[in-house]
Amino acid sequence: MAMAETQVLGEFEQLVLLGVLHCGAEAYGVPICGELEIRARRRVSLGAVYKTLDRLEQKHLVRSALGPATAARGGRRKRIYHVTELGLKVLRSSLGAVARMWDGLETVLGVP
Amino acid sequence: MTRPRIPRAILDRFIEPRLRDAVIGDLDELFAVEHADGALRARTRYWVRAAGVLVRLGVHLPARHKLLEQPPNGDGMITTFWTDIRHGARLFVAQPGYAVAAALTLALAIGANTLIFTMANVLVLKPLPFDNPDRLAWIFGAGREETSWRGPVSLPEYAAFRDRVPAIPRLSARQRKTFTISDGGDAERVLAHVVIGDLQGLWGLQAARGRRLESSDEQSGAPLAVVLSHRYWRTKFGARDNAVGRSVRINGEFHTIVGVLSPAIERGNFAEIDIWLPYRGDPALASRTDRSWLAVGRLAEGATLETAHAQVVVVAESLAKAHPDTSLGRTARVGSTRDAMGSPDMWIGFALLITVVALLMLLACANIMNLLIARLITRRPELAVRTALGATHGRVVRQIVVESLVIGLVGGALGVALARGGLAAIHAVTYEPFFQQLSIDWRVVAFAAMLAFVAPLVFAMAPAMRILRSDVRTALNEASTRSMGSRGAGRAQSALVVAQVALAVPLLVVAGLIVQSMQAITRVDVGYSVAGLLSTHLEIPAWKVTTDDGVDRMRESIVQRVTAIPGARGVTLATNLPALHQPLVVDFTIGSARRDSQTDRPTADLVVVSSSFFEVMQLPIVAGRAFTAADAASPAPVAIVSQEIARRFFDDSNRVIGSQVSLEPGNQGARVPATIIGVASDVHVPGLQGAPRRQFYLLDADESIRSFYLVVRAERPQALASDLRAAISEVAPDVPAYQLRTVAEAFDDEYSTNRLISGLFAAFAILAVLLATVGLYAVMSHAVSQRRQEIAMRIALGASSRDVAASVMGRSLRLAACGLTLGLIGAFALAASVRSALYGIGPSDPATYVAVAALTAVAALMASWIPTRRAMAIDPVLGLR
Repeated sequence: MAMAETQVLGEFEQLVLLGVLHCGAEAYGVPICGELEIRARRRVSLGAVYKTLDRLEQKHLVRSALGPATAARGGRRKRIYHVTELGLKVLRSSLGAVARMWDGLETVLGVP
Repeated sequence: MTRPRIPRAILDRFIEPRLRDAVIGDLDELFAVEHADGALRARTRYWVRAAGVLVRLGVHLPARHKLLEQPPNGDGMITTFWTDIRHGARLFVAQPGYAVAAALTLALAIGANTLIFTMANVLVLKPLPFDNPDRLAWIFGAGREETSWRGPVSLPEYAAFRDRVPAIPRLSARQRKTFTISDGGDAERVLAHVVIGDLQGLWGLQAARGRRLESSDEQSGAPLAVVLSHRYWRTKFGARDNAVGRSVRINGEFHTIVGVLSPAIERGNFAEIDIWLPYRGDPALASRTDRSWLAVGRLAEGATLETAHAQVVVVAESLAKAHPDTSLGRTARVGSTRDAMGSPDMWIGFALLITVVALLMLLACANIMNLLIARLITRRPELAVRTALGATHGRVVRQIVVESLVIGLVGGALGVALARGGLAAIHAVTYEPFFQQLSIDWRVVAFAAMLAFVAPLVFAMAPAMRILRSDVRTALNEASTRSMGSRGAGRAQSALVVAQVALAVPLLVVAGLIVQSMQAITRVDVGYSVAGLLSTHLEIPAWKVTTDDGVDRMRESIVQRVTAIPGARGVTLATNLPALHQPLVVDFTIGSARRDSQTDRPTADLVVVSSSFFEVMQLPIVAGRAFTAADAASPAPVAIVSQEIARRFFDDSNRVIGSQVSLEPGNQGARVPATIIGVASDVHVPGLQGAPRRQFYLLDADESIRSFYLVVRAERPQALASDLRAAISEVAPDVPAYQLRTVAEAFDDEYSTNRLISGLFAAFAILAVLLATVGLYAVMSHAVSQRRQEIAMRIALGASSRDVAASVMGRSLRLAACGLTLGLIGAFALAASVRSALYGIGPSDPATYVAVAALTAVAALMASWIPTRRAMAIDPVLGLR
């Protein structure tokens, strides 16, 4: 088994990346927070999310671009995030590792 | 729906630009949604989220503080200058303690200096708009016993000087006099300058409309002309152009308005003048004893004030010889424009004020210098590192200087604001036109700016150079900032503190003397009850009421009508109120001896009063009796004298009553001597040293006066003012009530300048004490923290708290004592030079000096209180680390 040379993702980083994927074309601060709150049932702060996104971007796991502005935003533009190829690769690797660790523990954890 | 502004502004400033729009936009989006559910909740969450974002993403400062940056080659002076400025400005955020303290100290000193400069501005830099004021010669007359040094002359005297002084070929004169202007129904009293000899032309005054007065207006046959002051034209004629050419009735005669004067002349007392009138007639024929004219002329080409003075004295003496009955012993002198603008006392007082604020400025600079030294000592290792890494000494010094300039800028701006506040207070407190006209113009701001620029250079240069000259290596080798290596700086600080105390002490002594002088002046008991009196000046018009009988009747009817006012407890009248107004000065002889023009006759003040005077004024009669209605009815003239006359001129006070006395106000010719029927208590004039005034009181029934003060006693005099005005216009519509105010107010106004000056000195003294105490505190505090190791060692070796306290306090007291000694010497010298401005107290008054010394000791103790306690609380274990 080859040792993964890819980066290691923290738990929150994983969640954020997954949130970005869920949001699709409208992946910016507010919806990502929303996804996390609804799906992961986690109350997250906007600051934490942006901090993480920033870190992910520095690691080249996401990229961002300025999106449109709206009136509700006081005319300020959104910053839309996309997961990069590298990001997908790292995410797969990370989730794969977790899944493999899970293997055989279903009954113990009582998870469907 | 308004989004919370403050968090947005903060985020706008401190979030990095990349994420700024995204973050703030998101917050706004959420706010928009949540607002529907509850505005307050939405706002609160906005704040919370914003704080969270700030904490997580961290504050992003626009330009990193480049302490160790070596400027690259070709870096312009401008860029580094701006960096320094930004650095200096940021100082207020980073090290508010030092910056705020320094700026505040500077602001106080600059404020005080700016305030005094506004006075200098008016007195020296913005003088009255005379042509060539250096070539003006002012002639002042003086009698044997007059104390005024700017005495007026009479018209015949003026004519003599005009004709017989070759050094002054052109001579004019002016007189302040009130007139009544009646325009239709309303009569109004105005203040006028009556001029002779083309005064307006002599001074070179300009007309804003029409023309100024000319010599032709003074010819007897010429049409009656009047020139309005600019202010009067604005207020009474609405600044309308058609005012010129109009006709007004002045004292019953129709005058044509020929022009309006430019407002440039309206400074100081001149601001009160409403109109200017020409004198018509031959001055040589006018009254010799009506001395109310101020003469001024132009020096001839090549003549000096001294030559003019010599010639004027000769003429004055010849006049005295030629007219012994009116001018015996009189002389005259010539003064410069500066003499005319202010008395020597005033200039001394002014010079003193300037000295005081200059001392304050030095004190402030010394304080800030100390603060700077302390700060630089603390930063020594950092500065040493910077120098080691390549920053040149010059660069670092420059940075320190620029920092100080920023502090100077802030201090200067604050100082101007403080001066503004001070001016507002002065305007509210005084009555004198001079103070009302003080203002902050561009010259004043320029002065403040100059101080704000120079002061930082003074206090920053020396310490910066000294600290930086110290060896880099020794600075780096010092283990901590609390070492004894800063001994040199410590000595400098001590010297500065001694200097501060030495500067503050003379200031305090002089201020104490001046304040006590002012109090002595106002404390004088005038002699009658000033409170509860309302007064107004009335003049029965000569063109309306031509006979003496008519005048008496009108006076009567006015008094009767006023007596009927509800609330009026008593009504009287007098030609002047003793101690308040200029009295008429007369020569007198006791007994019915004939006039002997060779003897030196004594003078006294004359007041003509109605019979109720002493009762209404509550001026006690100490012998004999007051005037009664019977005296008014009888044709034999009676008089009452003051105690001073009784003392000086009669052996046995009983013989005073019944003696005859002849008074010579001069232009009445031989008079029937009056019989003395009573002696009144003395009247004292505040501000005049020496014996109380000699007063004669004559009855109005015997003298038929037209121009007098009407005085009403009442429980609450101010409440009667409008009733009084109405009552007078009811019986005498052509007699307007002039200067209607309470007598207490009149006295207050008279001495408001004194109070102001003493207030200024007191304020500056307090400021000096504050600055010196704070300075001492700062130095002691710094010294204690610098010497922690030493003190800790002493405690560890067995010194008790008391020993430590004694050592610290002792040092503080020694410094103060040094400063005190030097200061007392300076105080002596300074006080001696202002001896003449003091009243009722000597320049070496021991009580004052003792008080100042005690105050210094107390201040030194207070200043060292906290540092001493800190020293006593030093834990030897911690301190020795």
